[in-house]
Amino acid sequence: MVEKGIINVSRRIRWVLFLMWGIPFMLGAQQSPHRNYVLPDPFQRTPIEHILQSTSGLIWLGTPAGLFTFDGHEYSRWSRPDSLDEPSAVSALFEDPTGLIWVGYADGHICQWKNRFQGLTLWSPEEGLPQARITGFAYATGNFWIATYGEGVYVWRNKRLYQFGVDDGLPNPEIYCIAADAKHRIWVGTDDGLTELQFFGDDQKRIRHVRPERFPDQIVQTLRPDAKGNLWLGFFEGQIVKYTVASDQIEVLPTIPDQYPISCLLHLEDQELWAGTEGGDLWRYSFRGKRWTRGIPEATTPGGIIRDLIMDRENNVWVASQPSGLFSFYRPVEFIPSSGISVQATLEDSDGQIWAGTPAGLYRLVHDQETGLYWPRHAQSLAKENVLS
Amino acid sequence: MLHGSILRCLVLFFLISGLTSHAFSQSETMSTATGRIHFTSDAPMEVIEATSSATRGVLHVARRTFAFTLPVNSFNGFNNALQKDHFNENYLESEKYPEATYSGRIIEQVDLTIPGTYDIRAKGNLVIHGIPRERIIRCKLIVKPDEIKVVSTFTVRLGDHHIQVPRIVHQKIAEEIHVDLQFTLKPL
Repeated sequence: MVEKGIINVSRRIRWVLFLMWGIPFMLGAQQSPHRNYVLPDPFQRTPIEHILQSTSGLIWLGTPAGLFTFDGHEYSRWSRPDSLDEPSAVSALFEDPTGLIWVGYADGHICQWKNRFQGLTLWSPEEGLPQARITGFAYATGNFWIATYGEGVYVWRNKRLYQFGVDDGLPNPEIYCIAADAKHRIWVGTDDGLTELQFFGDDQKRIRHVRPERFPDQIVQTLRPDAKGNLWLGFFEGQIVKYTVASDQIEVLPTIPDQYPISCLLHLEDQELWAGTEGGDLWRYSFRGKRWTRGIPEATTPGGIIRDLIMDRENNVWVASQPSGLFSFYRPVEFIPSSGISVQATLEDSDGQIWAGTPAGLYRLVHDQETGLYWPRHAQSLAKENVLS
Repeated sequence: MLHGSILRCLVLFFLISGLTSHAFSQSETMSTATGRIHFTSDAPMEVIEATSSATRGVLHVARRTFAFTLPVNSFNGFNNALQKDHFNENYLESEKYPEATYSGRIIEQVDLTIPGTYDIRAKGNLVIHGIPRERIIRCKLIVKPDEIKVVSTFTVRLGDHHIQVPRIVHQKIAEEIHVDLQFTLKPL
């Protein structure tokens, strides 16, 4: 008896799923599509707060105990240069278009990682480094951007460092998040909403505020651009907003139950939006179903804090959480409760509906509005047929 | 009698020291008129150095704002007189743009009424040859009860300020000029 089956959410690999579903059924085994990772001793209890996958495929992990990489088999810990105090919390990770890894620290230092032999080297511009927590990096049109919590935003251009501060019109020097959108615009989130920054070659700065009263909350804690040039904003009071930059439209999504502060967002191919919260665990929003469901209940802890979310090149979603730790989740394959039926065959039809063939007939999986779960519905016309394929 | 004299001395001492510290804390503006600036152009075929001690400027201690100005033709110490003429007439055009200025604000929120040594960054508008450029310049501030000493080194790119050097002298004048300065600011 198989308690859970696996369904494929992608039509292209429908037949693969068909086989995959059959195997655990035949073996009578349960498989979990998520995998946990634990840092090596003595860092096993160190929380992971930032995740990055570089073009080399390495997974980079930022923690209060410094920087780690994971190559799929082994972890490596990367110390800062001897001239700097150890340890210092990693507060931002970024890979620029040249493949250089930028590491921002809570004490304002910035290091670069060029290769395994050189390790981390301190970045030392003539202008000096911020003395505030680095909260993020971004790159667009030849400008490298550095966000800080307390000193506004710096931009590195032609080997000179410039600052966007309150004296330049920045609404708040405490920057929570920074990102370049698909049109190469730079956005920052602060206690005073969303702001676009522009910097031109002749030192000209331009700052444009999106009026914060248009949003359900002022505090933009996280922002994630999508491939279409839209921005997804997560607010302190738990709301999530899609900001369509081109038309200046704001769409407020239904709120996640209990409205915990949004800590991170991940937009997946117009199918889903994943949201990490501070104290409310991980949630997934289906654009088709227009509803929220718990992210990966079997992997996370109710009341947990989600620090970061990324999708790697193999479609695994990586989640940095507390107290559940770091885990990856193979998103195209997930478990759906099958209510004890013996699934022998599956099909996703052209409307995206999932069908299951069983010895007791044909079932169609639908969403139950009250429980938020998928349950099979009996197809009456085939109720007594043994559906094999 | 002796007791009374000691008491009077102590009262006087505390009064003076109190007044002095009060005077310093109230002296919100520090200034200089003799700030020293030295530059070096280290080109493949020639090294050019010159110094000026004519920088004037003020620092507002509480607001952490500052403004300094330097007469461009006050530099001395070139390799020869002709070089100084070229500097003023051809490159810096000091008759047309007689002063270089730098004004702005200290980024770090330091309390400059407390003696100590502070590594800070100044953010301001550096105007040379009439062309303004935003610059962040690292400085060391040595704060004493009666003065603030400013020490800094930074670079200036000629191209940033539209200072054009003829191709024929490219090997003699560096594109990037190294500048070091030392100011002693006193209460105004």
